[in-house]
Amino acid sequence: MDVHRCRFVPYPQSTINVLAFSHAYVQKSQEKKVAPPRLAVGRANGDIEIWNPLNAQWHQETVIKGGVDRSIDGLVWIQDPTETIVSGANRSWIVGKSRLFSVGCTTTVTEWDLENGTPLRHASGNHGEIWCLAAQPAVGIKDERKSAERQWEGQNLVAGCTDGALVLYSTKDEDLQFGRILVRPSVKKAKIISVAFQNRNVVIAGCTDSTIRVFDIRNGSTLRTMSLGSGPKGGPKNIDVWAVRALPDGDIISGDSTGELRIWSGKTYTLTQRVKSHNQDIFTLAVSNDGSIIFSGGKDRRTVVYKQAGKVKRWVEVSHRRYHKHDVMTMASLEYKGMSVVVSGGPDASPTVVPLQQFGLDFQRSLPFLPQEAPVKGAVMGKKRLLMSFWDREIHIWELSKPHLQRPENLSEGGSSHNRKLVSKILIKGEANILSADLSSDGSILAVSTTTEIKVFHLKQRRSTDGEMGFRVSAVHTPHSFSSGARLVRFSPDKNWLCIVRTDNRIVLRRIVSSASGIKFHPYNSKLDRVDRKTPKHVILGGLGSYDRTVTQTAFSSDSRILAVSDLAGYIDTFVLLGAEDLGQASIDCEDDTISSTESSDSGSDSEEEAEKVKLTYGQYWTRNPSAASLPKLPHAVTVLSFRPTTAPLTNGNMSHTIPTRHNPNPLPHDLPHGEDRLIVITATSDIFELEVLRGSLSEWSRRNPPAKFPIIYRKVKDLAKGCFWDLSNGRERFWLYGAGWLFMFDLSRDVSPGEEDSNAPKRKRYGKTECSGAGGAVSKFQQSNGISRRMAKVEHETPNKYEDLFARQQRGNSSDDEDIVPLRQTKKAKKEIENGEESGNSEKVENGEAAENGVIGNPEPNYWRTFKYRPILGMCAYGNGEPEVAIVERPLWEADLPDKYDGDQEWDHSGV
Amino acid sequence: MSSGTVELKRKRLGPNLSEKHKSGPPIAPIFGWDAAFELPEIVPGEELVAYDMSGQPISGTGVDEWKCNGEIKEQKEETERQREEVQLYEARQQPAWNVSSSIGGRMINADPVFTQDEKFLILANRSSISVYSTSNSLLTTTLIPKVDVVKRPNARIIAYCISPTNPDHIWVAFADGAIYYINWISGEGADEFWTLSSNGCIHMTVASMVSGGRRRDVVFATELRSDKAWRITANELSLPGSKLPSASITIFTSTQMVNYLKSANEGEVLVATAEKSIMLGFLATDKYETLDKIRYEFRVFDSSAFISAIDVRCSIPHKEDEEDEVVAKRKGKKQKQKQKPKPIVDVVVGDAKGSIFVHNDLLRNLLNKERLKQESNISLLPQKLHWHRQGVQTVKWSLDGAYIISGGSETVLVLWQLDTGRHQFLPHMAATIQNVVVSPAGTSYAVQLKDNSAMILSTAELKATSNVAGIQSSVLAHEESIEVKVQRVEDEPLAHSLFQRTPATINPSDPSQLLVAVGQEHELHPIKPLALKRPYLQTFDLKNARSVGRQALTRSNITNINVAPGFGRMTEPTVTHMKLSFDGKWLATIDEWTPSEADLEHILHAGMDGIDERWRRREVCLKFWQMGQGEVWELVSRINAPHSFEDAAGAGRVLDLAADPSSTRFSTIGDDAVVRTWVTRSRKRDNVVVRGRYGTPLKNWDCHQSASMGKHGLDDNDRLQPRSVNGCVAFSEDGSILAVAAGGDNDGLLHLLDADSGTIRLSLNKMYEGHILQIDFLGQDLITLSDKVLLYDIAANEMRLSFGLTSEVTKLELSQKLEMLHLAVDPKSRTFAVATPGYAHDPKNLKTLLNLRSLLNQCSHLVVFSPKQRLPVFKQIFGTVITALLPAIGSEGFMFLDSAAEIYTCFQQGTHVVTAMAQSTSALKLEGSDNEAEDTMDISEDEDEHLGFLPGEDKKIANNPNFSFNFEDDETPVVTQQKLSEVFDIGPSFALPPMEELFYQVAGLFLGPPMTPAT
Repeated sequence: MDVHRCRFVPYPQSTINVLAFSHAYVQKSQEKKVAPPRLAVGRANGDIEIWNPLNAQWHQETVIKGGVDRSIDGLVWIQDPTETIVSGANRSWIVGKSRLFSVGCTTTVTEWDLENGTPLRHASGNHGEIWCLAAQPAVGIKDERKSAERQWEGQNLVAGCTDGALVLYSTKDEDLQFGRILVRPSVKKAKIISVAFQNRNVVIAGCTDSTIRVFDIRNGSTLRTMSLGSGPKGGPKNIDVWAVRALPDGDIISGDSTGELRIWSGKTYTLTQRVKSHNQDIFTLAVSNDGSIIFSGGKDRRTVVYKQAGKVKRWVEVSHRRYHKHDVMTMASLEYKGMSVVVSGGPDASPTVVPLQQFGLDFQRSLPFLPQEAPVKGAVMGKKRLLMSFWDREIHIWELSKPHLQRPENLSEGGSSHNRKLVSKILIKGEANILSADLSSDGSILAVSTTTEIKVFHLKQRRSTDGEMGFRVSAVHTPHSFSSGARLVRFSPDKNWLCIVRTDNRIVLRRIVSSASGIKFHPYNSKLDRVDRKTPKHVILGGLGSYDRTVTQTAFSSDSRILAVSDLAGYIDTFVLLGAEDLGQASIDCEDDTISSTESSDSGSDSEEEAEKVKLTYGQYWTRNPSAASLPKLPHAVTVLSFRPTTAPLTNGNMSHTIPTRHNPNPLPHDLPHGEDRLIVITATSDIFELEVLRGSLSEWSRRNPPAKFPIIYRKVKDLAKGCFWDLSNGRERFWLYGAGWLFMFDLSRDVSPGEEDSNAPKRKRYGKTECSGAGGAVSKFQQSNGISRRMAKVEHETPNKYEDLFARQQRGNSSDDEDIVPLRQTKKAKKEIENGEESGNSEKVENGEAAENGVIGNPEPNYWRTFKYRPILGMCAYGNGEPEVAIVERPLWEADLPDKYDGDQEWDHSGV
Repeated sequence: MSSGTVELKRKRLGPNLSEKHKSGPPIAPIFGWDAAFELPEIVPGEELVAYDMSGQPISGTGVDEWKCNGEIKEQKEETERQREEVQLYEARQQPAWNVSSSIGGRMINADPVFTQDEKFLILANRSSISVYSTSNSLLTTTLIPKVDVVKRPNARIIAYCISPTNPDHIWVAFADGAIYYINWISGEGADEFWTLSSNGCIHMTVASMVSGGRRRDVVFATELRSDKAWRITANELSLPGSKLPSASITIFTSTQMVNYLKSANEGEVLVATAEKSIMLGFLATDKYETLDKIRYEFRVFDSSAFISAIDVRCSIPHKEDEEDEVVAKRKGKKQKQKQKPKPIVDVVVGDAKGSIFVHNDLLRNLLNKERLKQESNISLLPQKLHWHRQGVQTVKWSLDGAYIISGGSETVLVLWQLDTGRHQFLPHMAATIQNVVVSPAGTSYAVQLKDNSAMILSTAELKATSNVAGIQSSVLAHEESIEVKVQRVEDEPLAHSLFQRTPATINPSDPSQLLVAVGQEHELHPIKPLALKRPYLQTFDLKNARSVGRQALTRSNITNINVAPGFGRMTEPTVTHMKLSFDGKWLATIDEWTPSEADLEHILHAGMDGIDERWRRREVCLKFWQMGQGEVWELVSRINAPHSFEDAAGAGRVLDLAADPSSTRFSTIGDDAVVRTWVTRSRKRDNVVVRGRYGTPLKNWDCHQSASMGKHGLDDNDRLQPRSVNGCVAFSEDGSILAVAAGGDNDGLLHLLDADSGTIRLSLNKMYEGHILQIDFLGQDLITLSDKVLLYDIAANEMRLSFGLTSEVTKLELSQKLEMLHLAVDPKSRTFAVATPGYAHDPKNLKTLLNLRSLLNQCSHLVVFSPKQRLPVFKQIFGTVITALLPAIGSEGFMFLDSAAEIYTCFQQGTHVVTAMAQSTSALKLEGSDNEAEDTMDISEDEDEHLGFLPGEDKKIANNPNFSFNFEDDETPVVTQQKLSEVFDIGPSFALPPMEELFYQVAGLFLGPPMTPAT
């Protein structure tokens, strides 16, 4: 297999400005009353990413793209009040709607529509730019009974402004409205840079003039101004209070520009303790739900953990680590169903998950900063190998030279420009960033979608004046319906069809007519409707609504006759193209009402009116696969969807033409496609299934190889699968799958063998990611650096020693009890694996990798092979139908330019005792 | 191991304990000087054999018959006569030489102990306990527990602490398991001990515990068991006069070495460490009439790295803190009534990687965790404090628990304020901080440094109030420090196992001043010793056994962050030779620095030869220092690369340095086989003599002349290998002749040069065998040390004495011989002494044989010869390695420094010994009880027979316990500073007695022998 190792794609990483969980903590009794938590990541480029913690899988579900000059500086989730329905003995709940609000560097508060990925409402008032945003705490369980007579239980928003104003925004009645200005801008113009609620009525605001102010939002009165005194000598006089938080007992904590954590009494509003834990500014704070642990992060890259200790319950620093390569800008905590983590982020763009209750006992985990959907696509145009990548509003297309020119050591040298050439650079007009783009397999058509429009370009090779081969890019006239934007655009392999997933998740297919004169679109849309899955109404209305029906993956079969789409809930819908292509039937409508099997569930927001009818385009039409409904719902969202390519030559001949008759001048074909219909599905838990789409069931292979049978080394992989490609040359049935840091090959011609790792391992039920707190796996006994081991022996002389587990894990749902010592008695090999981390994986695999690259995987013993040598992988694309030739696009963080740090990288370099 | 009580009997050493052993250095249990000097065949009566040039043993009656030119008369063996002569000789001569008891020594790595009133600080070295006054840092008394060195060869003090029940007494534990209970005021009890364990004791602590209405000291000790396991025992030892039997019980056993033990809260809580494990024990029984009913319950868990320091602090919980006990009780069964609340145990742990962990309320947290499973995990996690780059050597709680004091090899005392997370530093402490102790009232810290010094800092302003420093030469490490277990980039060890000689010299103008080149590495690994770097000069006062000064002779890195980019240590130059001029006004030193192999790894890629480059980059300096103002040596001249090669780059080594005994002149010989003589020249500027501040003309040092000795094996190729050749140079006593030997030739060629002109006057053959190691003059006799010891009369041109060294010595590598063979000439007593290494192996003890390479088993032989006698006048074997051998300039005899940093004087009886003064302090300060006086009387009576030899010795003085051991004339009463301070330092000035009374007190000190009891 030939590998182009590409590091030249300048995919930009964007600073994480803010992180917010929809619920920081959910009590067991309340689990049914809230929607499963989501993490919203707000970035400096205006993107909001929605992550699903999903039992420590951390699946980046959707990305709401930003636009020009937009940034997300504050994010807040609220949940509308949950209503209880009592029907007889049963109680059920209409879960309150989870709503996401953001602020940028403007005076506007924006509410987001998660289902469509678009702004829902805006509100603004006559005040300065909003710097920070906080939501009123929800009514607690204790208050719940008392507050029966209370008028409203929702959560209002409070925004702190750069002119010193504190503004209340009301979220009542599923609306967002400017409430009132609680505090007028002060004369001194002290910016409010942090804001938090102490309880439902008292708000704490950290200012840039060395004060923390406490206000009552009911009447806007100032309860207290707490002064931090003047800054240290030699520094600025004023201390900036970058972060304030309230502990559950009402005490207030603040982090400021002197690097001190201060604890203030919540009753008397006086300073009770100060802890110097950072060398530079503290930017962010996080608190565990029970208020026993504080996390702080700051400019010195440290993440510091505090606990209460001693007889007078003073706060002490437990330890600090540098998890980030740059400032720690923001943190958010989550305690939900056994997960207990703090997620932190900053300019190094990777959200880092740090265990909360298991701090020091579990590893941290750095989530990939690259998008879950690979923004790369390859195409073969003639003999040229094209690589397309897109970000923000740009599309770049490179041409890769033949790999035989490269020696392996040159592969990684991005600087040597002779083996690739930037052939085209397209900038999209408008404000919105690119949501999706696709390049047809021959590289001739490029489709780009934003939230507002879809653009299509025609790429033609041409010889420029100096003899260099270049491209001519010409915009293709797009129909009117393309002006409404799409979540996904995808070409069919034969580039006859363009599949468009609208932002409201409707699926539209459009026939592309390419002729010598250019590319046109067939006038008709084929609208496809997914099976109605009968979601109860109260589910749609509450929580996250129908957000989980968001389509994230599409796949065409290699003969372009089957289309599969999947959504976040794990449903897969398949559609088939019926009929044989007959270009003579062009633009003849077929209006046969009897065949119309499509049921529109939309309330026709689309302007085009012919949606209700089945129309033949060139004698073909798309319809829902008859056995679509029988496809099982997968347990989790799908991250990779791919049809197995056909090995047999494509033939259209065996498709029987329907002969037009007089009664039925345009007869509808009924034959289902005969081609390859096996669909590989990888879920967010990295489980691999193979479906036979036309039969609507799992394939034989998949039945024989349930996810649990896959090798442990695969199941241990934490990053989610991002994409796949196939190697069916020479009778092989190899399936290559990659994630951000790994590349696996499975031979589908044989059953999965558990692999050598399993053979001598003691039986264990839970492994790695399933037993951790939500961050990385457990720290092995040998690596622990927290000063206390996991086990303790109780020794009384002349009585046998008893061993006690010191750090028993919090039990998760179905887990058994005796597994806590698993990390202590792992097999030598697994232990080594864990100890050496990926390093060993790396070194071990290099030679293997070389062998594989040269296509000499001789030993057929294990039917899988893996490498951890390439990372982080932005995406991969395969060229050619024979033995695959792939381009691996890596984007190492050290190549991305991090913003300058004012402070040196490691302080100890230039400090002396 | 049964846990039942073990009867411990206190053994009392009889008065018949050999007095020679009492105070002398440890004597290896082997066979005498035969081990050092070869016996060709064991023929009765032929213990001493002289060799002729051809290696044939010769024998003769007189030295006259030995001729260096090989004309040796064959002599009939006259064994009978010889044997008689030998016996006669030994009977007559042996008592004439003696070895004094030692001074100096290295403080053991144990916490210094404050007395309860903070007036005294107690420190210990290997064999004795010293009590220093905290107000003036003077030695108040020295307690020497009596040890029979023959029976207990590896007895050394490992731990000591003040008895908490009876603060007048001190418990002292020895490595062989002996425990002493000594009254540190009166010295009572130094001759009695209990044996806790026959396998050896590792650490000890004492708690005062009350039970059965009785308060007693319970001694907790960690011991080695015979089956490669360790245990902690609790012992109640029956004190003299007590009728209670001694009792002992094992309370904990472990398979790891329990190396530290500490008790708190009157023994209710015990903390021990073993490798990575922390054992926290608490008293599980309330009622124990006798000790065998005592029960401890231990919780054992691991820390992250090897533990190098630990401290525990206990406080009794307040009422409100008992809440959770109450809650727990309410939850559980109501079986117990009001239980005694568990104390709050705060433990701080310092590990070898530099982390400090603070476990707050550890005991209750652990117990809670056991009881209620669902506690927050983080409450158990200790607080981690990380500032130290290397292992934390010591960590202590402040008295109120608000601070932690820690120290390590960064030479910075760190004070951590726990509540605010801030820390305060006290940097530049001159050496690695080894131990820190907070005084009982919390007003001062005692800091023990690795350079064999201790100081007391006031807590408030962190200023040193007193300072105690001993000799800082290197010692052999007895136990591996825990720090070794952390992987670090290591310095290269020496190629061969050897203990490098310590450059040392005695100031002729003040014979009590010993100058020693010292470094930072104070403990030498016995198996793979590192090359010592000695950039400092220490001036040691032999009279008072204390350090009086320390200065750098070369560049040094003590307070820098001493880590190179490759994580190796930056090495310092080392002083290889040091000589004082005859008048003691000038000091010549030679220092040498070679880049380490790791530093030059990068150039190997360029195809260069690493070894060649290393020597090319070697730096050698010859420096001349003058005693300046303020008792500091001031650098006058520095000569870079005094012996460089003409044809090759790089500085050649200086192989030997000699001082002219008659004039201000030095001579060196180097790798280039050139002898250079260095003299002073007046410093001139424009032909005007430059004068210093006080009008004294300034002087420079210049090479006066140089004479090449030819390429005697000092081949260019050879110089790449370290030390393949050696050269020696020596001045005759009158300074007219310069003897030079160079090269490793077997012909033993030695040149005699005219010291003034530098011309070779005479070349002698076969003056040494193998490599020449040292040469010196004794009057007209030239002594060479090589594989043989030869004494050659220049005037008579004949060989006087010739001794071969045993093959054990001769088969050593050259570098080993160079560093471990010593020759010293004492012109006063007309004797010379040779020290040679040897192994103290006992054929019966296989274990020792296996460890042959360890320097711990190395012993040394000291032999003193007189040119007039065929047989040595004195010979003895010491269990330690002699690292410097010097003539005791102020008196007749020799002084030597050993690998335990102790200084001994080997003297002819009847001479005045300078080090003896340091010994006599014990009785000066304290009024001995009658009991003690009797004891010492006994001792001095034992000595009577020795003293009887001395002419004119006053018996009364000999009987005086104060002067039992120094042979003072009564005309010169010695008034020490302690005495004076006793008169003056009795209180603030307004509280002093009338001036008149003070005068009489002072006068009384100077008039007569002080405190002489009326006889």
